[in-house]
Amino acid sequence: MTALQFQGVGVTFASADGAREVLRGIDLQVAPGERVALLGRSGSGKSTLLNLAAGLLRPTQGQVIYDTPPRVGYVFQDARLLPWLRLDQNLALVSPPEYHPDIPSALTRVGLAGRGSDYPGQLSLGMAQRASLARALLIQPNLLLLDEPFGALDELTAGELRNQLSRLLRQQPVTTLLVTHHPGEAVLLSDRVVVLGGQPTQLLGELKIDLPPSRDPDDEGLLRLVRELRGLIHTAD
Amino acid sequence: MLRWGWPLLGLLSVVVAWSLLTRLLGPSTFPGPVDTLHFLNEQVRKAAFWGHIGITLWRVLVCFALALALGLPLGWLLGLSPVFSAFAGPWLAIGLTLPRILILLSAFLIVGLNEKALVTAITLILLPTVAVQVREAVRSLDPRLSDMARAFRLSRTKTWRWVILPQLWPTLLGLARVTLSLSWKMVVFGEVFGRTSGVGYMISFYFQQFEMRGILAYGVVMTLILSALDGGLAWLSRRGSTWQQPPGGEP
Ligand SMILES: Nc1ncnc2c1ncn2[C@@H]1O[C@H](COP(=O)(O)OP(=O)(O)OP(=O)(O)O)[C@@H](O)[C@H]1O
Ligand SMILES: [Mg+2]
Repeated sequence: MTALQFQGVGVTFASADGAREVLRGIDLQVAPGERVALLGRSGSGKSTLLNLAAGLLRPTQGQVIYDTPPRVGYVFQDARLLPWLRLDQNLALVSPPEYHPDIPSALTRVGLAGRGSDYPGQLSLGMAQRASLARALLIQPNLLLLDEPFGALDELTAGELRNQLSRLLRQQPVTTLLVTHHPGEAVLLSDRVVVLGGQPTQLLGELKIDLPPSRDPDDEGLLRLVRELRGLIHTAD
Repeated sequence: MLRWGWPLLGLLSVVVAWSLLTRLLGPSTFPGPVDTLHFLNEQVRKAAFWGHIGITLWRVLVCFALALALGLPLGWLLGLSPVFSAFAGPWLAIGLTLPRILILLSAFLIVGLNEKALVTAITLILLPTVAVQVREAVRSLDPRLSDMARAFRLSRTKTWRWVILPQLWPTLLGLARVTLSLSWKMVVFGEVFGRTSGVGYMISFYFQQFEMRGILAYGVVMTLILSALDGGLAWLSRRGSTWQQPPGGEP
């Protein structure tokens, strides 16, 4: 059973000097409920992969196959809230009416209690990112796409939010693709880490994360896997 | 003070400047505000006066509406389709650079000195400006927000109302204001040359009579009416304070 499958996926963008091949021969299968972290350098095509999964982009080669039509919750690299709508309206816009009573608690869960009537321009970058996470979780997605959800945050806040997200994902299990630069985050939040690299970008290796669902970022077993992952990234490079 | 005080002071300075100009040029050459008001006071009792004002206003609004009705879809197409935009490029270039008076006079010569010629010419004059501004607004739509709407499977109506329209709205309002004022100027122009009714016609009539008061009187009334219309549009664009967005509704 696979929820999502990349089959020989390649992406080539048209550019001023002809064509730029960004991704080549990506084969990836994601099981229902599985959480896969994607690790790779800046510009390697991680966001492009998520756009493929969301159906925003068609692959130039190969195909992206879904088991069931996905209901996608997407946390973009930039928060992409509508600046002319309040936070609660931003959340209401993407969700069916029966979810609207849940909006205040959805905001509370990401630490934005009582901020529903703020406009996105009144939030810090990190708060906007959390609102974007609340929006993605509110719609009860069956495919959650997270593009460096804590990239804009300081380590301290990011650390807190990683633990919080880990809890949220345990409460609300969902097939997840998580893009990150951070090996510790990858290990904490996923069941499998996939390392991307090369020119054009391919899958260079992967690491199964055999840890219990409830994880402690300072746990010795987890730290061992982080070290193993670092090694994998080095050899892949 | 900013809302009422300064504008009132500004208006007062206009009246003062007008009076000074009258002092300078002599009341027979350039009648002052009081003279003009007296003249206006006689005119507003006559049905003919309101008839001319009415017909001009009607022409202004018809040309304005036609230019928007044609220019919005045209600009939308131009913004979305590079092929159509490339093809239409020369047409727009001509439309934008051709002297407006040339379009107006050609229309009178070709179609005749009638209503159809006036409305056609002025709509054609307004159209390229509308289309080009809408094109630019459409091109500057944020593709990232459209991606967000697609990823969350927003319906077409919701995408239009809450993602696209708020981005276009400031341009549309500015466009409406500019188009309305241009329409008014061109209609008066056209009436001077090719019509036997309307404010433009009356201005040229008083011109031939050397009756400056008449010219000023019509000028004052039309300025008041159009300022009110423009003020309405400005009010619409101020609503929603922080973000210039179309009024009404909740998502
Ligand atoms: N719409 C597009 N048109 C042309 N080129 C694109 C487009 N989107 C992405 N690219 C190119 O594809 C490559 C990968 O971009 P992508 O945003 O997927 O990288 P990324 O791995 O997410 O990087 P980062 O970690 O910095 O976010 C880059 O070279 C980028 O210039
Ligand atoms: Mg990216």
